[in-house]
Amino acid sequence: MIKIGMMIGDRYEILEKIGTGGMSDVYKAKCHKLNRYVAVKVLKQEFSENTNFVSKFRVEAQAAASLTHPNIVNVYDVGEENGIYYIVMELVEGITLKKYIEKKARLSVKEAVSIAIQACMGIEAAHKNHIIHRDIKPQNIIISKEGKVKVTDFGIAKAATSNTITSNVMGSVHYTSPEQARGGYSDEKSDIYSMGITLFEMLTGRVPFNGDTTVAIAIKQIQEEMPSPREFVPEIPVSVERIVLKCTQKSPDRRYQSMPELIEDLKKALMAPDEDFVQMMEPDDEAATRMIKEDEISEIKKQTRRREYTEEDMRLKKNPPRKRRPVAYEEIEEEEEEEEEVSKMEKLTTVFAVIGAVLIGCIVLFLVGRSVGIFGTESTPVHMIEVEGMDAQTAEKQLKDMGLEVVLEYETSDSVEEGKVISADVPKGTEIKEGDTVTLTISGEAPEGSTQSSDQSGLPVPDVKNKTEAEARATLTRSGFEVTVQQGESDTVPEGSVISQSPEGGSRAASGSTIVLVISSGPSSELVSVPDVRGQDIDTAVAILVERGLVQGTITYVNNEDPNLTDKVCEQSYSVGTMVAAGTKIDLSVSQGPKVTYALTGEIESPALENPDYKAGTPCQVVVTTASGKEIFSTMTETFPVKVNIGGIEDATGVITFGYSVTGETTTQVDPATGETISIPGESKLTSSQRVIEFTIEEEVQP
Amino acid sequence: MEAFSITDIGKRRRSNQDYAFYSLQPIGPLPNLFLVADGMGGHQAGDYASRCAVETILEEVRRAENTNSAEVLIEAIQSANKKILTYSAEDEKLRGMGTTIVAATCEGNRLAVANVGDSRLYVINREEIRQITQDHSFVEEMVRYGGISREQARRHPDRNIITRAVGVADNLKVDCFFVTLQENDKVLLCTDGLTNMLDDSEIQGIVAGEEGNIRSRAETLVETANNNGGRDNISVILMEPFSEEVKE
Repeated sequence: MIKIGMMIGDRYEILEKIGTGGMSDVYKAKCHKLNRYVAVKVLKQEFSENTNFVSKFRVEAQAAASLTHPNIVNVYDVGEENGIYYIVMELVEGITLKKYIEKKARLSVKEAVSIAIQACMGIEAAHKNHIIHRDIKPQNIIISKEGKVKVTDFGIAKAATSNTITSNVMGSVHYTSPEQARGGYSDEKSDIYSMGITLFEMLTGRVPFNGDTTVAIAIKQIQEEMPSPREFVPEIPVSVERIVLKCTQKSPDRRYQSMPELIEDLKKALMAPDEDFVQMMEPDDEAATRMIKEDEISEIKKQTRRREYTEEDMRLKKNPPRKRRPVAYEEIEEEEEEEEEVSKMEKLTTVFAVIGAVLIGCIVLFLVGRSVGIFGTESTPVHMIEVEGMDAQTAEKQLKDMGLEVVLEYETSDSVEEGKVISADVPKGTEIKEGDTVTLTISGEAPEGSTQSSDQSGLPVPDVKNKTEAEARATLTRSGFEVTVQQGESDTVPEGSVISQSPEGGSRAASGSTIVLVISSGPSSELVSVPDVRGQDIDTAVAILVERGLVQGTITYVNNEDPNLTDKVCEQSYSVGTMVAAGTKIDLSVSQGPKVTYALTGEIESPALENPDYKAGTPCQVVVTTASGKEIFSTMTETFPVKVNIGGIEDATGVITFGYSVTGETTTQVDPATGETISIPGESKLTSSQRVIEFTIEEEVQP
Repeated sequence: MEAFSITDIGKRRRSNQDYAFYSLQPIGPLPNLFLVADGMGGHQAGDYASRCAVETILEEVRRAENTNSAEVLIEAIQSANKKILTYSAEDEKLRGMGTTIVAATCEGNRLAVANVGDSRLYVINREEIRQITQDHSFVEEMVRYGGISREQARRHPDRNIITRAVGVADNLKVDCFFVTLQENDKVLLCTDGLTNMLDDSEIQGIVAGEEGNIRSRAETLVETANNNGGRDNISVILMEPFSEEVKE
């Protein structure tokens, strides 16, 4: 048993329990070796008693430890002491995305997409290392106090156990891909599916498939059509809707095929949300004709302003709604389901109900520092405070501290003392969003040089200084401005972020007017003109650069058609005569002569060649990578040889990697008591083997 | 009537969380009683849950006045559910525990069976093997509701997830089955440590094959499960309702 104050691994002092999940407890600990705080995840005893499970758990945790990425909760160490298995991880102070969504009901489109991009980048880093998460869900995504998004529990959560467990609190099936629900082969595209469901939940505050039981939900994942997030939140832009729908296609082949593809579309959606750039594999007509859900109608009833629009919208639906149960019934059920969801989550928070919650992958980190309002840049609702009679500066400061924009107007008043607030345009107690503007009327004359008083027309310009160019553009465009960009140098503002803007943030400008942003290109320095080093041998070229005050950058060996340039510099990364800062790295390409390409044709023999333990017929992943690391072929097969015919390979050699599982040899033991022979089948282990191959030169010289 | 029970730790587990009990003598209103439970939860907790379930059921059955044997079994299981829930709420070490249960009693040729979870009761003869209980497991229900095929279920990584257990939630639904036994039938109650290691035809071969008596057949079942890997605790109760000695 872990006790507070105990030291494990000779270096981690257990300080406090910060969370508990299906398979593990999480403690805050201090690493005495590196003098830093860490999170230590300790496998629950019932799982550490299962040797099969422990070995899988260790392998998965080791794999996760090899990953480092800003959007991943990094794993530092994996260990065992007196039967206690633990993983040491980066301590992230913050809350899970699940809690964050619950707190905000739902997120703005921009925020949802930004969080999704960051989470996807973390997952992508894992995918690059062939690690599939298999349990992506908001509970496994953490928003740190600083607003960073981090994905946790790579490969650990789903290390399969054969322990009998109950499905009582099996929340994760809400995010499970159809292929996982079926128990089939899962890969990167399964993570993309779960990410799509997560994005849906961020946007709408609910999961698309709900049901009374785990099984009911799992079956919906397999069979039921995915609802559009726009059925719940009509203002979701078309691009984001389509991203969600593309991620959550039932067939993995129709989803995004890789994280980079998804990230690219998410980024586009941030810039141009209403554009139609998401390429669906096949049009999904049905999704366009679905009926508006009842909970949305009740939402509309509350906000009568929107009723007209939506009723019309409903009439416009081409097809009659599908047969469904009476509205009242469904409404009740819907609420019950939600309540059940909430109560399920509450159960998790109290250890009491973790009874039977021992379920695969439901490790919820309850991290320290769940203070509200730490996400200042986002639109958390706030309540307007009483400002009447307050000193103008105090009122302005307090409102700004709440994340509000403040505009001051001046008016002479007989009743209110000069410099005090006469009134505010937002009544006290009103719920408003961070970033909203409050206009205060102040008694007296406007102070000289006050921009607010001299220019009352137009829209308030958001302050985008220090934001990245993309963020700044998105913010300004959304506020109704055009954007143009200039480059500037800055020693303090990181490259790609806004140094300054004109007009300034906080001032007003006409809707549709242009805001000029100065984007940092990094620190300033002396400029020199780039010399021509093409045709020189590499030593000479470098000497010429150094003479100019430039630095040799990366040298790449390439193929160049001109035989005269063989072994000479054939390209340089800046054109001749360009003015660049002294010390700029100039990348050079050296020609190896005209291009030769290679081909891989013929048959790939079974991995049994290298590893006699490979049993014919076992599913095997075959990946061919060239010497420069490019993956040119990948397949899952059970039969060998595999026929291949790939041309245009740029490297002369490569490696074939086989991934498969082998079952160890059956060993026999004699039972000393009875003298009987007992045979013990070996353990099944994931193995990989490699084979180096030489490609054949392709006859044709590529132009 | 003749019966034999075995509970075995298997080859991979450090503790045996199964519990098997039978009595050929009357207990309370029941003429006999057969119980198999597969506990889950950490060390101690799992053992405790299965033992507590069996003991509570016995206690309740002894006290029962109802003459409907199925109702007696169901009510006893409900009491066990409440008791385990209470204990697990009181003791941190026991939190998260739960157990499966399969309970049966045989009155003449009429067998009453109640179950929760994925422990099973089979009726077996030379011609056929019939699984009487329906598993309350994720994959079984997925098959029943048409989500996946029987074949997919067999390889599903979540085979170990059960959808109902004794001692986990307040309202427990207990399923109940009745079987009319034929002369050559044998009844097998067992935990998933057996059924995950042997398929139904193997079980039938051992239980209804030419060789052996009740005891040796039960032993062969456990031995075979161990030879096939013994990944979990294995418990069996094998019962022959109309054995020679009793029939006379």
